[in-house]
Amino acid sequence: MKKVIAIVEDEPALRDNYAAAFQRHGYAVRTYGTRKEAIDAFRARLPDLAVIDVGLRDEPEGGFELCRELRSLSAELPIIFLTARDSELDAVSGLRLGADDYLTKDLSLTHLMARVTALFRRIDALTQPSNRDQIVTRGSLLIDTARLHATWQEKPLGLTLTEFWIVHALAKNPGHVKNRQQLMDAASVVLDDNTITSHIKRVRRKFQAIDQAFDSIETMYGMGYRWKE
Amino acid sequence: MSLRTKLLLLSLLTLILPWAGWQYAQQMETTLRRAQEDALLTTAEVLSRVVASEPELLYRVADLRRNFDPSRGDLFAPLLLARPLLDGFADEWPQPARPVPGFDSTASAGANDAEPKVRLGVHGRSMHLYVEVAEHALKYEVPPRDDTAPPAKSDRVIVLTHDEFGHERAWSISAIAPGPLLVRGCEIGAPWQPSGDEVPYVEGIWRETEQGYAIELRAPLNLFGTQLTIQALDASDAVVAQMRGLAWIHTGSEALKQRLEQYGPDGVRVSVVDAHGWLLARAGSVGVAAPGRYPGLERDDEGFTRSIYRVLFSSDAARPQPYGLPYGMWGPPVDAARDGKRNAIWFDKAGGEPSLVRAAVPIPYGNDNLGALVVEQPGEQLVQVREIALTRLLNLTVVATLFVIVVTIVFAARLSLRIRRLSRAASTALTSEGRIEPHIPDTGSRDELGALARSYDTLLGRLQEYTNYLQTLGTKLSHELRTPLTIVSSSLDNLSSEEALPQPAQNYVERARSGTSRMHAILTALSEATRVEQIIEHTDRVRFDLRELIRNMGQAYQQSFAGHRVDTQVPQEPCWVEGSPDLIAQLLDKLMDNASDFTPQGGPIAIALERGPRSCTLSVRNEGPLLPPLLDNRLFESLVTSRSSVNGKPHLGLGLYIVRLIADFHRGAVNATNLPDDTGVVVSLELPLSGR
Repeated sequence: MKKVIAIVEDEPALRDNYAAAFQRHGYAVRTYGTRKEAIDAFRARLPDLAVIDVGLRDEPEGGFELCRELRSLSAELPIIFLTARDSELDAVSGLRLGADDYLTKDLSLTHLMARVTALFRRIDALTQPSNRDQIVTRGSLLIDTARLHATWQEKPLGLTLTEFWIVHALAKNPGHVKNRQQLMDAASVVLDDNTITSHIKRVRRKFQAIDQAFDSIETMYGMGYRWKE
Repeated sequence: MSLRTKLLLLSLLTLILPWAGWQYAQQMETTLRRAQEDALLTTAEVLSRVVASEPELLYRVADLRRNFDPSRGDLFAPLLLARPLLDGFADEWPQPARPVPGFDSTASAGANDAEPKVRLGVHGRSMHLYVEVAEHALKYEVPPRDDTAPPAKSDRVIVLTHDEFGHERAWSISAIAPGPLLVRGCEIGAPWQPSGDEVPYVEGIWRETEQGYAIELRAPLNLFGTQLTIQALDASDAVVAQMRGLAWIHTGSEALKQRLEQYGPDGVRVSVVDAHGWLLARAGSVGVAAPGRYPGLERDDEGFTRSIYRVLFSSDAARPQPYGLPYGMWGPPVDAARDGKRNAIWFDKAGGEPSLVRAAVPIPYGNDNLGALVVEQPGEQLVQVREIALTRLLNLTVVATLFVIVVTIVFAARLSLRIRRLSRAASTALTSEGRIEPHIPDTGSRDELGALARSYDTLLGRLQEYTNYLQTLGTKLSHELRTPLTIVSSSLDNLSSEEALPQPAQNYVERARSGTSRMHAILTALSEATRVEQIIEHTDRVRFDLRELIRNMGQAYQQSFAGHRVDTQVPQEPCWVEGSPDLIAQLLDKLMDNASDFTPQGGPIAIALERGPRSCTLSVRNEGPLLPPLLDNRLFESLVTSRSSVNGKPHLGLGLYIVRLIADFHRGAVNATNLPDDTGVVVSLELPLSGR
C-alpha cells in the first residue's frame, strides 16, 4: 500500500511540484491549500506523513496551529515543516510543537525525498527488531541507525532527523573533528554555519536534559566539532 | 556674533532711560528757574518802589546826581563792611575786583606826585579818610613850651570841606611824630593858619612811607559836606600836593541800608546802585539757608557719584564776574536795569558765594531812572535738588540697566543652552555605529524652540523608521523571494527527474539550477544578519580564553585559507573575556573572508592578539587595496560596501555589519584603518578583559 503524504501549502505551483515529486517516488499525495481544508480532511483520515508550510495564506502562523491540532489527533504521525521562514525562533517553536523536522524551502527536492524516505524508514524500523550491526555505542550513547533512534543513559533523546545524523556523524568516529560542511553532508541538509551552531546547541541541550554533566560534544573553534570520549 | 552678545547689545538700549530722565530734569529745572526769577523780579520791583519813594536816601543832595564825575576827581565813599583799623595802612580797605574810575588800586603815590592819593569810606556814622602824600624831607611839629604859643611850622595836610549850604570849613592835620594826629581848625586861605583848638571827634594816625607819609583818620560823617579838597603843605607853607579842586563826595547810604534791611525779605540780598552803578547800599546775605529741609543736601554733598554727575551735566549758569564791589556794580544784569530793563541771570558759585540768581530792576523816578535795585537769592537749593534728582535717576537707571542686562544674559544663556542642547542632540542622534537614536530634549516646550525640537524629533523618527526598514529589507526580501525561487528550483528538480532530457536541455537545466542555487546563497546571506541578531538574543555569556580560541582558529585557517600565508600571534598570558566563543569565531571568520578577498594570492594575512592592561585587541591585517577615504566607519553599517561584486560571490556589505553586531554584544569597539605605510588595511577589535 502506498504511503499517503499530505501536503499543506498555499502556493499552488509549489504544491503541485512537491506532489509531482512525491508521486514520482511512489507516494500517494493529497494536497491542501488552507488549514481548514487540511484539518477537515485529517479528521476524516490521517495521512502517513504531513508536510506543512508555516505561513498559510491569511494565517502567518497557520502551520503551527495545524501542527498543534494534528498532534492532538495523533501523537506518532510524522510531521515535517517546510517553510520559507528560516528564523531561529520559528525553527525552535516548530520543533517544540512536536514536528519531526524543520526544513527550509532551499532544500532541493532530492534532499527532501531523502529526508522523507529516512523518516519513513525510522518509523518502519521502530516496529522491527534492531540489528546489531546498525547499533553504535559510545559510552552512555546508543545510536540505532536502523531505527534512527538514539538514547543517552538508556533514555531516548528525542532527536530530530537532522540532529540524529549530526550526532551520528560525530559519534561514529570519536576524536575526529567534523567541520560544518561534513556535518551538513551527513544530515543531507544545506544549512548555513549559524544553523549548524544552533543545531549543535539544541543537541547539547537535549543531552543535558538527561545528564547535567554532559560535555562530550566539543567545539573546535575554526575547525568544527568532535565527539570526546 | 552669538545670540548672547546680540541680546547683550540690545539690552544696552536701556541706557536711553537716563538720557530721557536727564532731559526731563533739565526741563523741570528750567521751569523752576523761571518761577524763581519771576518771584525775585517781583520782589525787586516792590522794593524798588519803596526806594524810589525816598530819593534822598540815594542822593544826599540832588546836585550829586548831575555833578558827580569821578573822572574829574570826584570821590565815592563806599559803605565799609568792617571798620578799618586806624594804623596808616590801607591794606584792610576793600579792593574792588575790577578797575573802578577814580580808584587807584595800588593806592600809592606814583605817576602824579602832585596829587595826594585820597580814599574815603563810610562806616556807620563815621567817614574814614586815607591820604598819601609824597614828600621827601619830613618835618614834624615841635610842641610849644606853653599852650598859648602858636605851634611851629611843620608838614601838614589841609582838608577843606564845603557843605550844601555853602559853608566852608578847613582842618589842618599835622603830627609831632609818626603816630596820633593833631587835627585843628584853621583859617581858610593861605597861609592856612591853624587855630589853637583841636577838632573834636576826629582821630587818626600819621605814618611815614617810603615816598612820604600817609594819614588815616576817622571823623563823624556830618563834619564832611558835599564837596572836599585836600592839599599838603610843607613847613614853609608851600603846597607839596593838592587835589584838582573841590571834589564832590558821593557816599553809600547807611540809612538806605537800614531801609533795605527793614523791607528786604529773608534769604535774599538787596543792593541799590545809582544811575552810574555806584553801590549805595547792600543788605541781607545769601548764605545757604536751612539745608535741613532737603535730606539729600546733607549727605553725600561731595560724593563721588555726585561729582561725576556734576561734571557730566554741568549747569548752564553764567560764570560769575567781578562787579567792582563794594564801590559799585558794573555788569549784567545791573547795567541793563540802569537802562530801564528788568532782568535776571543765574550765576555759578564762586569765590565763597553760592550759586545764585541775580535779578535787577530799575528804580523809577519820574521818567528817569534813579538807579537800579538788585536782588540776589541763592540758587544752590535748586541746583542741589536737581543734582539729587539726577543722581537718584541715574542710580536707579544704572540698577535697572544692570538688572535688565543680567536678566537678558540669563535669558540668552538659557536660550542658547537649549539651542546647543538641541543641536548636540541632533548631531549625536546618528551614532558612530550608524544607528539613529533620537533623544531630542525640550520637545514639550510650547515656544518656537519646542516646535523646532518636535520637528527634529519627527524627522529623526521617520529617518529611524526608514533605516529600520532598510535594515530589515534584506530579511523581508529573502523571505518574499524564497517562495517563488523554490517554485523555480523545485520545478527544475522535477523537470530533470521526470524523464531523460535531451543533452542540450540538460545543459540548460543545469545552468538554471546553478543560477537558483546562487540566488539561494544570496538570500541566505541577506537574512544572515537578522539571524545573528536573533542568536545574540539567545546567547549566554561565558568566560573563555580568547588566546586559546585564536590560536586554534589560526591553525585551522592555515588549512582553510591555503591560498594565503596566515600568520597568528598571541600573547604569553591568557586573555579571559566574557561572551560567546562561537560568535567570536564567526566574527573572525567574517574578517578572514574579507581579508582573503582583498589579499592577492599568496599574500600574508596577519592575525594578532595583543593584551593591554584592561582590554585586549584582536586585529586582522592584510595587504591589498586601501579603504576608500570617505567611507570611514560606515563600513560597519548594514548594506554598506566599498567594493563591487568580484568573482561571482555576492557581496552585500553585511559581513562587517555582523562583525559589529558581535563586537557590540561583547562591549567591544571595532575599527578599520589603513596601515601607516598604506600597503593594506587593518581591522581591529578591542574587547574588555574579564575582571575575575
